[in-house]
Amino acid sequence: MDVLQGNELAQALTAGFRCLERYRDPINALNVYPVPDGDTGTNMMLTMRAGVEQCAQAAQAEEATAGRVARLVADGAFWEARGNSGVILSQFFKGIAQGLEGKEVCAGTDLAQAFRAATQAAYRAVGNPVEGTMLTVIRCVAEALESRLEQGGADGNVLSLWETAYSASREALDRTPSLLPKLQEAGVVDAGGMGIVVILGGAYLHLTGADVDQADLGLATAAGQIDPTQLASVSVESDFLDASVESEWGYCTQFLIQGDNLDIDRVREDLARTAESLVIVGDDQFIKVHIHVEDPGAALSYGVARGELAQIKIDNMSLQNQDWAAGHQAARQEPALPKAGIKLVAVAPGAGLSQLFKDSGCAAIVSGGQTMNPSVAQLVNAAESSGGQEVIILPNNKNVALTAVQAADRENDTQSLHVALTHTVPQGVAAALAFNPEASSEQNLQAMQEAAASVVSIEVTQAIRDTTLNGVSVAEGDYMGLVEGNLAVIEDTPEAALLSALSNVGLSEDHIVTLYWGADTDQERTEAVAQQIEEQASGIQVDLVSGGQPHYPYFASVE
Amino acid sequence: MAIRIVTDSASDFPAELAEQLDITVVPCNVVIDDVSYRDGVDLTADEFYQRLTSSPRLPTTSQPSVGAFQTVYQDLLEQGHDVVSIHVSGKLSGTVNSATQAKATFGDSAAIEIIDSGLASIGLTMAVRAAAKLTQQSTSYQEVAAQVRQDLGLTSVFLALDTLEYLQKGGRIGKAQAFVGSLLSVKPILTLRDGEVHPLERPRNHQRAMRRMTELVRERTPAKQLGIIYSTEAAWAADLRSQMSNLLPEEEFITARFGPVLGNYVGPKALGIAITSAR
Repeated sequence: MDVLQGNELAQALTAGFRCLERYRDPINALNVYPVPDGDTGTNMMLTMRAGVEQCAQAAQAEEATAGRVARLVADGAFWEARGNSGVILSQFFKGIAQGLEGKEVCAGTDLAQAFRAATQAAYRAVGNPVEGTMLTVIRCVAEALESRLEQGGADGNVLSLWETAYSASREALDRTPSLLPKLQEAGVVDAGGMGIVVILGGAYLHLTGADVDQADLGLATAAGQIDPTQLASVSVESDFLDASVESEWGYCTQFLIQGDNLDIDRVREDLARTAESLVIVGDDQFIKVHIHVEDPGAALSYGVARGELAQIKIDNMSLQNQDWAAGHQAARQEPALPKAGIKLVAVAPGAGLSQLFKDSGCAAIVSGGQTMNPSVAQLVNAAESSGGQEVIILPNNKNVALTAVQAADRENDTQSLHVALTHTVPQGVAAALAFNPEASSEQNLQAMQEAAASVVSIEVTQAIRDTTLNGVSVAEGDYMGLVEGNLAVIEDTPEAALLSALSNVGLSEDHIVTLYWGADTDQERTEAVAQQIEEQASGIQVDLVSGGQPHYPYFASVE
Repeated sequence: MAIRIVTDSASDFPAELAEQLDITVVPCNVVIDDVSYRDGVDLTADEFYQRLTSSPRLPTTSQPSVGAFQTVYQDLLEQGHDVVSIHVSGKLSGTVNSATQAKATFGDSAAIEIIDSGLASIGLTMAVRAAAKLTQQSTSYQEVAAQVRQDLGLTSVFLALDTLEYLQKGGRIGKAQAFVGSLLSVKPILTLRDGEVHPLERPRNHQRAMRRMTELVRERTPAKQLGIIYSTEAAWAADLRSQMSNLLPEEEFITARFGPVLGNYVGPKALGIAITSAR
């Protein structure tokens, strides 16, 4: 096999994606912190999914070049990127697409060039690249390909080079714990790195003629060797992005537009006026549309005016929240206004926190957080719906921060996005309260960052497995108190963890403590613990908010 | 014959000082339970705040009548005085309209200058007091008016409210609407700009609001004059004043109280500071 045709590349990437879909749960389990936020596998899968479906479509329909296939995957991944690993993966594909730009087919040298470009793009995606992560895995693959070609060993055979890439990725993955001490301590390899191995492995096995839906890559997690028979089954013809849709409203409408000179940015912008949960990917000849709308007929008419429609699918979403839907429909009847002013968009987990951010002046809320990382497209859609000429995004989670930065990077002439890099919900609340719609975006960003930096964030959650962290052994079921994201205390109850984390921070009567109780806690328990805090430091102000966040009995801030 | 300064009760100008400086304060009106009271004449601040928190319906306010201004101007003109009449922002009240209409009844040649200060309350107090000082140095009421207009921009006003409820119900919230509603208790700080109320900051409690108020004032020093105003908590005002005592000699400080008209919008436990910066 000297070269990969466009459709062969599309099939290989699809196979890589299917493998990722199967292995997502073991990858999810590979997180260093035993907190319920392991979703690297899911994030990478969702990041890749739309682009892969799109390129599979294009490859079937006509002669697709390797360059175009790579571009489709990269574009889809850009918009669907979620979580830090997803953002890095999307930049990886962006680099691959740059490397294959204009190529009819993918030859061995093209593959090496693509991985070199992918490495550069992936390293650029993070402000402070850390070795022992998926970045290392990607870089080692590029280096292995280059040295193999320099030695002339592969004779330009693409299959043989792909094998080189795959085995280099596995070796690099095995080395990640020795490069990153926290992996070593937790006894795991890097999750994002394993995602890369699985994608390359799935593609390689497909190229050798193996059935990727049955394949055993022979990988291991902290719990031991992964049993391929226990893996998630591949959802054949799965609903487009069924796992990623956040709102249950109106009609879920999906269709494919086929045409000439389609303007995808225009389509995205037009549909954003009346639709929610937009996922729109494609190029100038194919556009896959996934939207929630009140009137699917209007959306189909819009599509058919631009090209031929295929794969039409319409579902009536259950109206889970009547109030919200009613308010929403009223809002939709207002004509679209020109974008104006500065608006805030916040990412919030839980109904109470969403309400708090809304009340504090946020124009749009994206539901998400620790285990529900929103995509670039969701953030951009929320920004669009906010109506601001400028928008400041509050990611409120370290796993959402890169996604927000990528959203702000998109090209758009009518709206500029900024990110106030808030890493916790308490930081986000402080930043939102520092927002002044009359100040400039620069002034606001400065005031908001300062406000975020002025609070100490505490999170209380339960360990989901036994591990060792910073030399402290944690048992499954323990309640951990994290201060500024670092494990500070371990206790038997959420209240005890909260109180010891607070006393770790040190309280004085000048402080204000805000407690956000989670979905599984209640007001009574929170009031009781608030009283204990007041007894610890007399005169201290303790404010209580029903946050409704999952997995975390308490968030708290001290300021 | 002299130049006399006229203002309205939305300036919250202290009565004693007004008497001392020969300043006429035309009262605005407050309507509580269908009875109209003249601000500071028929109704004291203490009575008002007691009624404000107990009355089931929010009191309403109205500008002084044209007739009230006519009477004042007529008296002053007959005594041979020229008049500089400085009033609460036209964007917050129709007072300046009443004054303008009253002036018109005396013909074009009447020696009356009407000024829309774009300010209110303690901010307006600063402008009025500065004008009274100018009358001692000038013999031309036009010159005094021109100087007053030129200096209006030197005065900044900051309000720290316990709640935005009264401002909102009274329809004077302006751009500070953006700060309405938070599940967290905040003590909003507002400012006056271009004659309207604008949002500034949302500190989380009274102590932090006080600290920010003094910082906002210090950012605008050196000061030419300073004023502190409160609605119900005299001790808070005294506290703020002692924190700023090193900024100006004692005699340049004014402490005032939000009268019924302003009190109807700022509500109980409100504080305000005005600073006229040195040029």
